[in-house]
Amino acid sequence: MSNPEHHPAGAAPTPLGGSEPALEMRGIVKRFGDYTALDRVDFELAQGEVHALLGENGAGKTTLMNVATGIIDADAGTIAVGGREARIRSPRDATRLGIGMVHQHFRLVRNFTVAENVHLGLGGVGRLVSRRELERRTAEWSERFGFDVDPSARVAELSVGQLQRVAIMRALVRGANILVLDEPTAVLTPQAASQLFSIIRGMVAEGRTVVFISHKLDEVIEIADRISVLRGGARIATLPKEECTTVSLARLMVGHEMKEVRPRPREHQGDPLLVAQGLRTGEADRRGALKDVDVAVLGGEILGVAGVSGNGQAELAQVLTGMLKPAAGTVRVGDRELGGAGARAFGKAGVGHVPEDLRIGLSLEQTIEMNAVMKVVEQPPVRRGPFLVRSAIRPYARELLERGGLAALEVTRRAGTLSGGQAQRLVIQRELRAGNRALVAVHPSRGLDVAATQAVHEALLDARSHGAGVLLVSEDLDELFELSDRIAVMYEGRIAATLERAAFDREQVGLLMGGGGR
Amino acid sequence: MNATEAALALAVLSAAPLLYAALGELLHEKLGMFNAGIEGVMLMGGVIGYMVAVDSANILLGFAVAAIAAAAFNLLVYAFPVLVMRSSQILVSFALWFIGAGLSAQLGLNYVSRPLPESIGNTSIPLLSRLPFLGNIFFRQPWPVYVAVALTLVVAFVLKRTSHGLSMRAIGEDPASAHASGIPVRAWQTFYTGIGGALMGIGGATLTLVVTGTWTSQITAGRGFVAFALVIFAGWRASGLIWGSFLFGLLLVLGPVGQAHGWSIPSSILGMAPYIFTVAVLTFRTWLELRRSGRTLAPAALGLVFVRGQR
Repeated sequence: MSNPEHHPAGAAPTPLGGSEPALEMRGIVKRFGDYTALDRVDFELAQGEVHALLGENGAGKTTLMNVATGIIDADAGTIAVGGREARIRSPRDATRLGIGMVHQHFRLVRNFTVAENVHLGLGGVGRLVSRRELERRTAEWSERFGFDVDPSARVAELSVGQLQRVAIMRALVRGANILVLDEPTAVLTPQAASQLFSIIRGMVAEGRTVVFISHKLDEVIEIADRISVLRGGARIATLPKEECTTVSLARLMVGHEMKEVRPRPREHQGDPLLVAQGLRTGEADRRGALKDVDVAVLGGEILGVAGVSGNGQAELAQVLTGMLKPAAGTVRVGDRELGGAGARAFGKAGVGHVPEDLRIGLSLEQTIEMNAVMKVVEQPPVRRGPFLVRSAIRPYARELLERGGLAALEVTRRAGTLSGGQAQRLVIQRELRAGNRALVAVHPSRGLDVAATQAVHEALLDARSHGAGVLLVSEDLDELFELSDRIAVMYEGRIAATLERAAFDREQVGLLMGGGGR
Repeated sequence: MNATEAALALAVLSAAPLLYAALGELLHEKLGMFNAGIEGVMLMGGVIGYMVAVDSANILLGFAVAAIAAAAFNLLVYAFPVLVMRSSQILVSFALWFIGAGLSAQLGLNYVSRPLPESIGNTSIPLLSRLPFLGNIFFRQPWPVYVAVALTLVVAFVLKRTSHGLSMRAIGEDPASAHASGIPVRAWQTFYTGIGGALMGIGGATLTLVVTGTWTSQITAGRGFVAFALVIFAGWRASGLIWGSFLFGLLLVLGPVGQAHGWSIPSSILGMAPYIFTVAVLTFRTWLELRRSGRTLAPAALGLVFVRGQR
């Protein structure tokens, strides 16, 4: 296959339908501070097609469509709708131009009925509305596309699939010719997803155009006419679906630059330290809910967890640290059963937790030393009777900082004054010290610069070589490949596969993350 | 008109300022803002209406200026900090109360002993006023009473039966979704803070120009807080405000009526009735509703600050 990376922007193959593109975006640039979310992206939408936008988290899919629907303003670039230059400054402008978007959060008023939500914000100030009339009109739309919702039902009582169909109906009632669906199947059960697909086909049959944002390879090939792949804020390729396979798309989505995976012998062949079996959380159709997950972290290994966010990694980490009580399943630390116990019991059993959000890991208003002893305040020497022993706190804190390479820090400073990297290292050291058996780290290097990332990685490897079992949740494949002994790939609340280090393969992981492979 | 009828007619008259003020508050709360500084706006409307009526010898002009001044006062002291500067609705409410109370006392210093040049007579509604009992209580009242009820019915109709009312309610339920639906959230919130302020001011003016016919500082004596409770009591339904205000009006006249009739309960105790009932409403109303239907009647986003682009 020729290198699809270098498709010139204008040469997008086979526009379908009418002569003018339904939507044409040229040279769109969007920066958030120093971060370039969209880098001169060209995007062309042909009349009457289903066009998939495929990419990993942070590739810029949603940002691009937020620009098209006026939710955010681009820093540069032009937009034309139906061949005519358009300024889209607000969702209202987009609506007027016939562009509607269905967000991942549906933006519906919970206490209103379906009919009220569908008609919300329509019409002039003086228009009379009777409940029955609204419901009758809603029922007509519902029937026309097979939406299958009761117009008089209160939105708070609907299932996720129904909510989504209400949101789509709302966009259609507003005259949307171009409908943008942001990760529409991420929240759906397979049945609801196939219902959605038939609705999409119905809309296209009426001549409407659909943008389908997704990271799932199979369904993109199933529903789309053309597929544009974004990576790192740039459009990599636009291909008709006939030219795509899940493998080729995975390669485009994840990128070519392969870092060599160094073989690495295990230092300890440890016992399972943190073992979970048959984990389930929440309602089965909720996004990210765990569905029957078995996992075992061995002593002396780093078990990486890969996956597109929202596929259950956060829930898994929460269950394994006692933050979330599973609906079913068992969790064992060493030989202790800790199924329904809380975070405190997990901490006592020797499980450390580096949470996704540092504000959970640190009390920013407290001093560094108080944060350092937070996990051991109930144990001597820090506690004596009901009292805290100040003279014991400081040496403990100093030692911790030294191990983290932070010896220069003044321990009486507020934790809120730490840089992200310093804060992360402090948390890791504290959790390692208090939780000597297992460490659950969620995105520990996210947002850190190269040096701080390096320090975090060293701390994790250090824990591993001391015989602790480390579960590392990350969206950064390079990081996972570099650090992990094994990688478990999660997809839709399940572990799709677990790969040994010798079998690490970027393409394979990309496929598994998108629900393919196996 | 016998004594019972006279007492009940007085209760209906006393209900009018409450009804205006509560209607103004309802327009705040339906759009997601709560304004606990009603007292301050009522006082400003009351004093300015009284001053204008005394100086111009025109009560209608007094009402008009009171409405405009109270709207401006509420926009400046409440809407600007809350909607533009994103200040706390609680703190701003208190500022509104204190500023209104102090400023109105200062403005009205020279008007305390000056009588109104004219008074509003009762207007009898044809036919209805001849009803036995009810006619004397409800249908021989000064016109501001009828206007209060009529405006409340208009608001009830708009909220319930127009697409604009749907938008208004959506703002109070879920401003982010309302905004995503193309409803100009902040513009309507600003507009109805003005209208709501005007209604509170008319309520104050009704008190000074019609009910008492005098001005003294702090004349509202907590009616702003009674009106606040009335909105909760009515379950955020405009139509519920009407009979709720009559009930509170009845409690308000218990003291004077008891005194006039020489009841054995001290009138100071009777005088506490509306405030005790207010506390009871604030304490138990939501709890009762939760037990009954499992959800509260308050707009879901009441008191939450909406910032565009956040959820």
